[in-house]
Amino acid sequence: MSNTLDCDDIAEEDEHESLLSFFYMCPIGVVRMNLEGDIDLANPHAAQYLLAITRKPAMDNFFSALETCAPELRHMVRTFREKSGVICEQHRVFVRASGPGVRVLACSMIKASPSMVMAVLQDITKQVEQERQLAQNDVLLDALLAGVNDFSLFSVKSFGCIETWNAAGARQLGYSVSEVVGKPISLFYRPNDPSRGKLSEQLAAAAQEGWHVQDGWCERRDGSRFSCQIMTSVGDEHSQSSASFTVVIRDVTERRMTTDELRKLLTTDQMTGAFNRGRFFELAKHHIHRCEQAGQPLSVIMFDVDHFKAINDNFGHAIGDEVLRRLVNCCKVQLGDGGFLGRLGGEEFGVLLPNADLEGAKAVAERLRVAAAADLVAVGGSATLTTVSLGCVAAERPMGGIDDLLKAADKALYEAKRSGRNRVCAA
Amino acid sequence: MTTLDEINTALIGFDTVSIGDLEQMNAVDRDALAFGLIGFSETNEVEIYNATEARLAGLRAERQIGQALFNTVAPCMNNFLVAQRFEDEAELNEVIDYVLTLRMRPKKVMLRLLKQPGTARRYILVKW
Repeated sequence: MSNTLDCDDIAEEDEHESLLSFFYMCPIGVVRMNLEGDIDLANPHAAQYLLAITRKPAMDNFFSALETCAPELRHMVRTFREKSGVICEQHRVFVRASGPGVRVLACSMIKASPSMVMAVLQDITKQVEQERQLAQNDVLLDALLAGVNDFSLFSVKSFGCIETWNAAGARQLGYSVSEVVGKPISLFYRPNDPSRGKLSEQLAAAAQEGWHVQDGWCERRDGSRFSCQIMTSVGDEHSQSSASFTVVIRDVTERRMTTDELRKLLTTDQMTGAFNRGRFFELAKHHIHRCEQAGQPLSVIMFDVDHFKAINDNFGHAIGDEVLRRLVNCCKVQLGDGGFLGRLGGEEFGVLLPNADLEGAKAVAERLRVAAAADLVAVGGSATLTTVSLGCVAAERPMGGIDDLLKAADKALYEAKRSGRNRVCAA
Repeated sequence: MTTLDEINTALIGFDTVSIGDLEQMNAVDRDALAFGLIGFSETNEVEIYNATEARLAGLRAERQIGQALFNTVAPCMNNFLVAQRFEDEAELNEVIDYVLTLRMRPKKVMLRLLKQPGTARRYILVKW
């Protein structure tokens, strides 16, 4: 034997082994089969994918192996009339819904000759997952911008005039495109809203920081208003002009209501509507400090309902509660913005009067007494007059804490009761 | 002319040979076996690849030594039926039906999975 022949043999063997190695390591599944699906050639990856589906090692028939999740493949091959060509490309085979490993395969089939089909299988699980995520985001974004009347999004030119408008804006604010384009966005502010004049500031702030958020009130076309958050940001990809802003108006009524409700919950006596004890003390601390700093006087009134126990005993607690509620309402009307009413005990109330001296406090107390006495509560068919007794005290410098003031006011209250009730006494 | 040793080796049963026996064998003995033999480390590196297996797979034995078995040499065994079992189970001595894509032709075979506590090397025996 000549050496050249030996060398050729070795070279071919090498080549052959290389090819085998190449297919062993191929990271996608490749299968050759006849039109009935009988497999004659398949690489290890194809075997892996089929095993993932059949759970048992079997590589006789491609269609049988994929029957549980892609029964259509057999039919696709059978009905492919041409002598050769692409039967399907990246046809999705859903192996299972969830869990680790392969969940989605892409199957491509090519009719290589009148009696032979080549199939390629690829794991596209990750890709499908990403697509699903993107689609989900798209849907979410669509819902936010177009479908929901919570948002208006529009663009505004640098001098504050509305450039573009959309369906959400029409829904939220009630204006059509023609009514709004070219108009300034101050259109949405209430006539006496201080923000109305600050339009240019809003845009300037956005221009400087990139975006600007402010809370406020927005007025609809019909004059009704809603609590809103206005976000202004620089630039809008749909606009030709470079000096352009995107404005989003969010209806935050619900959110504002919730915060308000929460605040109320924490600071108010639920039954009567007066401030609760904690809040009253907080307010007192604050105003005592402020008045002392400002050189202003401050007074405190303490009062309770005369014969309240008898009301509860004779007419029941429901009536007793109603008496308290009416009393609080009546006092609130009398006090206006001048004082703070707090429920300190069962039927005991305190009034904080910043900036009031003793004479002022006595005058307020007298008004309260008269109003309470005049308030009729129909009880069991006959009218019962509720009366209150009140004690007043003015803080002396240096001003102590609220405890001291209440102690003194309480003393005065006791005196009022002792001397006949339905009267005002000063410390 | 076949030696007594060779006859003995040829008679060594696919079903009956123990890890101990396999560990004792030299290269010549291993190559004389009537079934394919792959021996691999705890980290799945090929340490033994006998002549029978090489013929089956169409790969040169010496080229497989040191390669990652389940990733490179025998990727169609990289699943819950074979590779995962060596991971999960402390001891293995089992024969399973399998299909290998040796030279890309689906071939029904029997695999014997061997793993023993105390022995670092694991074995897969291939009979068709």
